[in-house]
Amino acid sequence: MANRSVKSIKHLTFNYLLMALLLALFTTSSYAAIELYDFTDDSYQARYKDVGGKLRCPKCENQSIADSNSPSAYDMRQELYRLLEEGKTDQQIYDFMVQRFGDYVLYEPPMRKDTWVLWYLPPALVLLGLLVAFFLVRSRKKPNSAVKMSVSERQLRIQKILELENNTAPTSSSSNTKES
Amino acid sequence: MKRFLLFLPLIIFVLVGAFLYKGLSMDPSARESALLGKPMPEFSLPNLHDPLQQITQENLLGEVFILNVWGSWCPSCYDEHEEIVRMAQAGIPIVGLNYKDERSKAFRYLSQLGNPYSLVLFEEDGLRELAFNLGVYGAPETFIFDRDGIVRYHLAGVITPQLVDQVIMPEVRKWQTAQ
Repeated sequence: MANRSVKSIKHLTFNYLLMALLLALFTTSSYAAIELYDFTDDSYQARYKDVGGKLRCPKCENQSIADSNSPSAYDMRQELYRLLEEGKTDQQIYDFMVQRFGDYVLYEPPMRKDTWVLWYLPPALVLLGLLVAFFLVRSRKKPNSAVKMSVSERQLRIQKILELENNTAPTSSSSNTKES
Repeated sequence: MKRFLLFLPLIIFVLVGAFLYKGLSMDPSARESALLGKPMPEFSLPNLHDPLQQITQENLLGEVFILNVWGSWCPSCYDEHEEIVRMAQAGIPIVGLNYKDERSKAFRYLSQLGNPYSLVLFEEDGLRELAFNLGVYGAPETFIFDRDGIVRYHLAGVITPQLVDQVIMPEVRKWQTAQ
């Protein structure tokens, strides 16, 4: 009897394992490599994901070390794990990687004089676009101002136009007479 | 002013076009090493040919030398090997760093192509003793160290004949004659 219950328990755990394995197949993880890390502190796991996503793989330009399967990204993940377990701060980990692989490994480059263009050009362009749009809209409204002229102003303008026509009329008529 | 504003979109288009066109011909993997001017990191690795002999940075300092990172698994390493041999024949001490490799495969590589290295350090796969700290992210990579063990040159990529003649050899000579 006891033997049988042990057997069924074993059977159950096997089923659970199989289920867990099958479920694991259906999860979509951004982590390319399946590695097991035993974190001594729960917060390390979240930081491992966070920092790993912000470090760029040196071998492959468009992947983070979390996404890349390359051996160099694997090495960096191993070091990341080691540094987390040593109790290093995120900044210390970034510094550690930059010392070896340069600013290149940071998806968020540091704010420095030579990186100002990177940080400030996009918002500056947006601002420029908004300014251009603003002035375009304003200049489109201008023709309406002609309607808002007072009666005397309108009279004055008509007079001016008529005077201009009178001035040009004689020359055109004289040229006509010459031809005929 | 109105005229100018009319042409502004064209001017912006040409500027952006020129900027992007330049980007097309740039090599995204070309970047300056973060190791330049830094001292050789501390390490302790076995000699490939004598597993019992541990070599540290102390053993390498004192003369200008080239460190070449290679592996039998690395196709480009075969391509550049001839150039390593040529530099060794010119009398430049070249230390090899066998990277993420197996001993037997490394031996086969050297017996097939010849061994130009004055010494080969063996960094087994899984170890992060020296290459990682030098910012190595693949093979081949090549460094020049000066007499004090400071990194003076770092190439991540294949050594070509032009690179040897125009950059690496002059650089080695420069640091050999420097006081």
